[in-house]
Amino acid sequence: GLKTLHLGSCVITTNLQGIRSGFSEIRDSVQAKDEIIDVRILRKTQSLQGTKPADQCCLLHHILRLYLDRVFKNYQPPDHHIFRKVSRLANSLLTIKKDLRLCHAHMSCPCGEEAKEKYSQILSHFEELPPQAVVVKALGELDILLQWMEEA
Amino acid sequence: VPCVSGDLPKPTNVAFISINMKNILQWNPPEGLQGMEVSYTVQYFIYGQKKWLNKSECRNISRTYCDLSAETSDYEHQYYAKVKAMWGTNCSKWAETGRFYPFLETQIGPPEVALTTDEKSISIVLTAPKKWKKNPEESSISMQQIYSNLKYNVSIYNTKSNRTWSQCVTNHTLVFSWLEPGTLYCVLVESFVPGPPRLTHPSERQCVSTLEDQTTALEVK
Amino acid sequence: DGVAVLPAPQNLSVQSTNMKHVLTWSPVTVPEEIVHYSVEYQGEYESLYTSHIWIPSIWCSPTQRPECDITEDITATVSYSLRVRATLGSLTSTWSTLKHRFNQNSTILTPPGMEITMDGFHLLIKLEDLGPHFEFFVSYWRREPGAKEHIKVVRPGVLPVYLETVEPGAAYCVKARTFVKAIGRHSAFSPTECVKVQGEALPL
Repeated sequence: GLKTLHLGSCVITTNLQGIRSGFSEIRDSVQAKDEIIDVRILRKTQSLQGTKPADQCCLLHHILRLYLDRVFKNYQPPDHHIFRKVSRLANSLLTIKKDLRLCHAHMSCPCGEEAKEKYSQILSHFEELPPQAVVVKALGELDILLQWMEEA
Repeated sequence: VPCVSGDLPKPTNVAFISINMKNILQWNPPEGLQGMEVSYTVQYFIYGQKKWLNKSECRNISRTYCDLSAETSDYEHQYYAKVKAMWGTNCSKWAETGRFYPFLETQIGPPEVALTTDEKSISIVLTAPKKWKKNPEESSISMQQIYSNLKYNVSIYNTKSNRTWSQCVTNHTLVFSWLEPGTLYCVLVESFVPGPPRLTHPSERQCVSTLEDQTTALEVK
Repeated sequence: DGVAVLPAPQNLSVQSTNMKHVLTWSPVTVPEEIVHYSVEYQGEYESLYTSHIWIPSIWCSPTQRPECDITEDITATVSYSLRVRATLGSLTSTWSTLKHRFNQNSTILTPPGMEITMDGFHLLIKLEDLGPHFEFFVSYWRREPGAKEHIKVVRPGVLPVYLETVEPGAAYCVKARTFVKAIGRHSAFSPTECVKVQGEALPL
């Protein structure tokens, strides 16, 4: 059924399987456009499941905001098919971010040092690359982010 | 002796074939060079790291596959591989795979299926598929340990009524009782992990017959 | 943009049942001419972050009929804005936008069709194929006082699904409802269906 994400004291349910299936439809073509294969934005050392539970919500909230503010917004899809699939992902992740914002409102999404440190590392990897290249890379790494969420 | 790169066409259809985390890189000979004495060299790359790495057992080989299971066994990582063809002093450019994510892409093999019957029932015992292991001496890891939400789709075909029905289970033993005596039933089982679609491998179809009805057998005597 | 001399389509509305969504509108009629329509949509993300961007509907850009199957356009559980315009050659109407945004969580869920059969002493159920969104909650029990009700979650599939091994002479009842993960809602139960098992009841 639905996936329940346990992020410290923030607990949300989401149709993660539907989102993953949606991404798997465009994964190969999006990743094929990422030619900078020696740089990875979402690295094992900043993974959600490697973060202490209390900080997981804040870390995920920041990562989703990064995707919504700077990845989907600047991504230029090669065709309408990809455009629709990316729209589905953006809108699906938007619903998760809205749920995390509710946790934030209920004080169950604190930002500790670990979350801040890991997010700043992710941001530095993100800002290492030219704008259009990083957008393509970040979109191609959604399978990593979704796997982190699966394991949360 | 370095070869002249680019004079040969590249190998084609370079891709990972992955079942139970046994990750084999496979390709076809370059166009027009089938049957010729072509040799190949393989390299692989861990996404996000810095260098292409050699696979010594797959340098100057004549076969068209290379087992990269050991090199691609970290679930957290994603990989690329590439292969080039050599013939005499000429060689091709590299032919590269897309990004390969074993944890998401590996196909889940079928379970082992053991059937036992008596007069009116069939017991099915499933053994989860085993993950690839480097050395036979290593202890086996079941794919269930990797994918805790692994399930099985069991389908049963009643050859007498010509009907097939299915059941989705997570446990490894199930008994179908009140079957028809003296009837051939065929069982087929498929493992699957809920989530993004993966290719699946159903088990071999196994058929077994329930015993004849003992009561009528006694009356006949 | 073409000069907007065509009237814009009116009376836009969405009918949605079992996660199939159809946008309809009143046709724009021009004697002896065929008017085409184009449909576009915006999810909540586009409205908030890229409000200038509209996405052409997969099946209706363009279309001749005054309706559009937007099921494959509405793919997330957020509110969507939809708009339609008419075109005739180089003439183009203004956009007409759906008054209220549409969210798939408002879809009408109907009880599933089901077929209860037996193979010998095995109770089987075959459920209506409603598409990949749907799972089914099947409830079944033996028709006798104090009988325990069993629940089985059934995924969409081609084959009938085994429910229970039954006893001769007994009666069993079944009902089912759908569950849609994407919107976290289920339908009402189908009417209950009961079957009597052949043969003599077993001695107590």
